[in-house]
Amino acid sequence: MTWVAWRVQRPQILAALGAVAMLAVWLTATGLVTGHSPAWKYWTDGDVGLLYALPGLLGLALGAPLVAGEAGHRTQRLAWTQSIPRTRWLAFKLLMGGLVAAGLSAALTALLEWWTKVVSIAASTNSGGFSGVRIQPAAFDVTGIVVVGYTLFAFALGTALGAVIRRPGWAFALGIPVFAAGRLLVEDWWRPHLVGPASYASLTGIPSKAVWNGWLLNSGLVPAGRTSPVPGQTWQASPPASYYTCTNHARSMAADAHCAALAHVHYVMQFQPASHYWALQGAETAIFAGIAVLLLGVTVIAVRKWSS
Amino acid sequence: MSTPAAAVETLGLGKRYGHAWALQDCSFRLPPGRIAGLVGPNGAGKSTLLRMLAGISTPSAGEMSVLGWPAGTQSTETLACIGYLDQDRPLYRGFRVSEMLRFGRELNPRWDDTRARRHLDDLAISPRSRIGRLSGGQQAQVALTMCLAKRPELLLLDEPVAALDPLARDDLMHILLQSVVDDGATVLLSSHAVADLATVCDYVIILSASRVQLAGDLDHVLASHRMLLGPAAAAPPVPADGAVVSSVTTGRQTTMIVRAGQLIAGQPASAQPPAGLPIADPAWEVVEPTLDEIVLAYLRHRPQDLPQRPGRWARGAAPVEAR
Repeated sequence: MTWVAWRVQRPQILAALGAVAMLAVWLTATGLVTGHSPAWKYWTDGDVGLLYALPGLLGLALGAPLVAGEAGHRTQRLAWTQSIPRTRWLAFKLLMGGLVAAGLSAALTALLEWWTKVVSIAASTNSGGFSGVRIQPAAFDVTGIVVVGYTLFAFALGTALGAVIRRPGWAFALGIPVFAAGRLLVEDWWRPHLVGPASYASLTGIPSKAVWNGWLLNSGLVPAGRTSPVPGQTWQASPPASYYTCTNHARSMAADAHCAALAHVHYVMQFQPASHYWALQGAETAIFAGIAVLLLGVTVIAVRKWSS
Repeated sequence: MSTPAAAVETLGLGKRYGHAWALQDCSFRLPPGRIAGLVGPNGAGKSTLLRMLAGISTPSAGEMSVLGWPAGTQSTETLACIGYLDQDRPLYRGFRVSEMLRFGRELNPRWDDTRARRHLDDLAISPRSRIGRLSGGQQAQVALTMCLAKRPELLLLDEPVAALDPLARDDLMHILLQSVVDDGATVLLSSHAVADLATVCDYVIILSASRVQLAGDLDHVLASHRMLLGPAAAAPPVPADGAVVSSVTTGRQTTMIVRAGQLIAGQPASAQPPAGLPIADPAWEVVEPTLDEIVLAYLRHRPQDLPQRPGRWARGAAPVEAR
């Protein structure tokens, strides 16, 4: 059955391999050129968008036709009347597609580890662009192990949609917004709290080095002694009016700090420090792997109930 | 595997798509070792029945057992015993013929590769050819080869002769007969070419209007029906009850197909002589009909027998006498 799984999925696997190989060539070339001369940095800014989309496209391209592709010429009727139970048949196909998806995304991440480093060094000598601080979403989303998690999520999403809709094209098309929504929801609402964030407080509001090298979540003036706003208030809540009357006349950092102390407030920056990188990577990968398992369960049920 | 009493047995089997029943109240028993012909017009539910027996379609009602196993059994053992040829002849179009055979070899423990290769060789189908480049007839032959090389105990063939030329039809019938003799296989094949069936089948199931109209041994079916030819003006020599399968008047002649077993009221069918019906009226001639004529009669039977069904087939309508 291993050969069958490989042979039936060969077109998608080769296409995915080709796409990743082309990207790898491009990344290697831009990485080498940028490393050689940081002036080439601007070439690479546009690529980053593609890098965020790639795990989704790769996973969906392998997943959407896995079951739905059989419906086109009704080959599931051939496959399911051979001497192999259809759940076993499905298991082999899922294993083949899943391993390819995971393998390709792992290879791509390995390359991106190097590439983001080169490009962020270039960025530090230029202004703006890709910062390369690994805990910040721009680099976090394309390095470490989360890429494999995203790809498996997209793969499972593609198979489940395909098994339910039974049309590979529609499964792929519908998978893109669902994948994007899933990624954004987790990144904006869940990732910041996956590991308890750190706080840095100062009277002047000048961030520490740890904050610069971390992922800033929230910042604002809060009452002295607190590391977060008073319950019921937001980070944007105004300090006492006396603080502004004071700072209007302040002419130095020290004076600003004095004003804050008088008003019993201080600046707090809530952030995920660089040291939380692997904890966050592990937790987020686990989330997407968990969703992938649920979606694969949907695929199995849909295939078992498929009456053609 | 112990030999079951029936290769296929269904009881009240039905399949509904939305509100419409594609097959309803289907009950019959196919003894092992037979070549059974499933006849009926397009849309009678032949393919639906075969798909359910092959395990790729789930029945909406009723029960069935295939080679002694209940419906929906999905194990390597049960699947290996059933060979199914779909009406669409699904094959992987990007595969080469040799890859299609490897597919069969990898997935079937009883696969007979020599037989498959020899069969395709005889048909001059190269193993290097792409499936998608083959003609419709050649694809049908590859699909059929896949089905036969599996060496199943039960062959479920949906319109196996549809895309074949007359010579290939003849060859296929020969192969089917041989696999029944050699392997003790049971064959259930659907067709609307009744002439093909009469030469090879020894069992017949007539399906019409989503229901089984008749199922039985070919010999018994032939022996228990009579064709009556008489003047259009004359009163029918039999009571107009269920005994009359069909009655057609053309010009001055009436042709009736009747069930012999029901001609004499109050006596069981087995007690009645199939030949020499007690028809006293000399105006009527009694002839033994061909399978073709019987099948046609049952297909015509439908309108009078099943009263008005407004738009859809109502569930639980009076069943037609089967068997």
